[in-house]
Amino acid sequence: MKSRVKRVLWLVIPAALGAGTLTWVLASGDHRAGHSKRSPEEAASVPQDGSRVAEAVKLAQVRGIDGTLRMAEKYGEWANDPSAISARKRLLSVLFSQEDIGMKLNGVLAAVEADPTPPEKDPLWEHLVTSLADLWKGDVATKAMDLVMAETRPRARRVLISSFAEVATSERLASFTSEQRQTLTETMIDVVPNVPAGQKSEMDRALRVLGGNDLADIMAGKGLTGKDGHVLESERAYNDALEQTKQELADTGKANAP
Amino acid sequence: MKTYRLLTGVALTAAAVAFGGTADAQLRDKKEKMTLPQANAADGINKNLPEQVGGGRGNLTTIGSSIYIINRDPARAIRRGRQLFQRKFLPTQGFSGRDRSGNIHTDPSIGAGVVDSCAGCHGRPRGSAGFGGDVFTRPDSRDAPHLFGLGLQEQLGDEITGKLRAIRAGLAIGQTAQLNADMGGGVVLNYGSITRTGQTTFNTAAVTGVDADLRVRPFFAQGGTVSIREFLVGAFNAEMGIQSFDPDLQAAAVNHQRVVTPSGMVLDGTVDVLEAPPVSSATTDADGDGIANELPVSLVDFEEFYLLHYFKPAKVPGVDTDQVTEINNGRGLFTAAGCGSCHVPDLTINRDRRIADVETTFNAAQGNPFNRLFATASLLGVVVTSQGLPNIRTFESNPAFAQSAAVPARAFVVRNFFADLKRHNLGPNFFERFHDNRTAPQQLFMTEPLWGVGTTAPYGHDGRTHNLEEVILRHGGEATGARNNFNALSRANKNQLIAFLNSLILFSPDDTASNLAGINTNPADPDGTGPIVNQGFPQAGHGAIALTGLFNNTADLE
Repeated sequence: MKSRVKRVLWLVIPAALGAGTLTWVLASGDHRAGHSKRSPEEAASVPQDGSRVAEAVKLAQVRGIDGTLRMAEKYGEWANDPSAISARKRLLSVLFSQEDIGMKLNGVLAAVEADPTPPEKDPLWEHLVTSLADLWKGDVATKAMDLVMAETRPRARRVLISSFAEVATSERLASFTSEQRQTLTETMIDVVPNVPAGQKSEMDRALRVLGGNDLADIMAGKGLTGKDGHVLESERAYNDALEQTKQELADTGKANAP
Repeated sequence: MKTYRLLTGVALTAAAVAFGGTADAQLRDKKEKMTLPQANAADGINKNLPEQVGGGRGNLTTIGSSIYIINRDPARAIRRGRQLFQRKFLPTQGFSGRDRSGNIHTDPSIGAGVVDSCAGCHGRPRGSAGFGGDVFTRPDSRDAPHLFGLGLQEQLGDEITGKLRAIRAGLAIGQTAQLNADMGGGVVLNYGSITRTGQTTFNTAAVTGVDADLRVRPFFAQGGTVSIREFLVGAFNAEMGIQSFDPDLQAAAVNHQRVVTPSGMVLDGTVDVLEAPPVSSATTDADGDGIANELPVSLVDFEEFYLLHYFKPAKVPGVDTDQVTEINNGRGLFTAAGCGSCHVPDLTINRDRRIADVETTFNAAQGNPFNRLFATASLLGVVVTSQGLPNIRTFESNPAFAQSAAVPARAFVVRNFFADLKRHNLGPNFFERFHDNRTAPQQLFMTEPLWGVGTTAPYGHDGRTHNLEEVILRHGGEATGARNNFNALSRANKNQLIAFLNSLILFSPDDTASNLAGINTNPADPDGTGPIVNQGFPQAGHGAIALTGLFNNTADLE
């Protein structure tokens, strides 16, 4: 690994962990209700507030960590304003365009955390998930899987997990090495017990791709005791092999009988 | 400032030289061994004990001192610690069978076995700081645990302690709080709750899994010791009869001061109860063998630094597609059965003090025939030049951090750890008697980290259980639910879960190919003393995790 790249990668986890911690406190609790999910296209049909777009453009000109954190803060502040969708997308675009991967994730995850909207009702959630998924290539992907395990902020963690579920269920997975794919599988297994209920279905889809039907069923609690009537594919294969062996032994016994 | 690069090419050459010191699992001093007829010149430790002691502790400008080497030539410091770990001590160096007279009730260590090297108890797999010995400190015996990942374990315990104490410090009088250590990834370790009752008083009746002082003690089965430094100084005394006057432990444990060891561990005697060194001065000959200062402080420094950096265990995700599926299913079953509620798979350290990490996994293409593993070392530090002397390695920092006070400086995710660093009651089948027939046996034990568990039979702190299935079924108490869930699995599913546990392994570093020393093909005459009789064995097609290539002076062997 080139030294510069390596150094940058080591910045990713702590940088992302930190900045959002500051912005988390900026999100007020009363923002958390009252949203209905709309696609960005639907949202765009709401007349957009040009002054906010202008403010976003102005904010984008502030360089460094201060500018990044200010944009993240505004992204959260405007979350309950449907007329600010365009401005918020502009902010995200600037945050994603940062060249330094550490600074990029620092800003994006801080913005995600500053937004109190439940993901199920967030019109920009899918855009965030797929944009992050597009970043997970090469060593960045490896370090970002560590970030999933290190992230303490709930919304930031959720979007990271969703972005890797998106990788698992898309053509992006083809760019992962077998080692990365295995790490992703283990990561998904390890985080399943702690994801919110609303995230279980995407985890199920990801696990089915990564580890097969049995793994997804196991993580969903199916087929563990036999009481639910569900038999895992591996268990069926084991039992079939056992029966076949018994049958072969019995047949051999008959053939050899005097 | 620039990132230190792995000197792979140099290491490949130097690795063959390094093998010369790794032929035995326990090592005799090379200069001693050379007195034997037909000695193999390649075997043994290159430096004798006074050379290992070097310039004492010294400071950053004392050439040859432990502080100088740890900071300016850290690979050498680690290697020296390793050689010390393998060293077979002589009676003339302080090793002795201990005087067995005395009261075992008040000094359980006199019931310990006597061994002449650390590797004598921690020696499996071959050449590793692994497991293997039976440490007779209890009537029911204790198995010597492996030391893989020891530094990560120390750091996890220390950081969890900090989180718990921060919660305590934030309480107002009359306020109660859950002791939740948020470890990232959605993992929250709960240690019960605590109530502030006064300016300096607390009700700790509801604290669980840790002492009332909230200090997580990650070492020993009962969770008795805070630091690697206490651990090693205590073991040298109890198991080898070698007493160290360690000024750091003396200052922290006896004089109640706050000290920072050369490895960066804070021993704070103002708030923690720590273990005192066995002697209170460098001139005290506690065991009356005519030798004082049997383990000088520089050797303690090197040993601590070595163990801080000791390799994490490896994992074998599967040697073919079918086995990968089986092991992944097993990991899922492990989680679904509830085993992971105490054997937590992954925990995060916010500030890693190590200068390197080594990731070891199955690799049929690059591994050697001994284990088909391949280790990848990554250096975590950077180098700054300093006053014409060799560089001092310092930790990376992000310019952005300075503007955000809440940022952890050096996070590291400890994957495949499988423990929660809490004490639990696992039921009477795990209870342990004391020598003094106390009415209550030891009932609480730290959750055993499962990394390496596939290669450490027999199981239990006492080695009473022969395989993994039986030791799972031995669980009771707080683990009764998970045990019952396991027991309810079909045979096929049990097999998958066990296959997963067997994928968590230890390894022999000397027999594991790595990016520091890939598979070599010509190991002839590695130290220039003449051809080796058994040329080609076992070094041909070998490879190792060899640090020599990273020394400032690769010709100066340890």
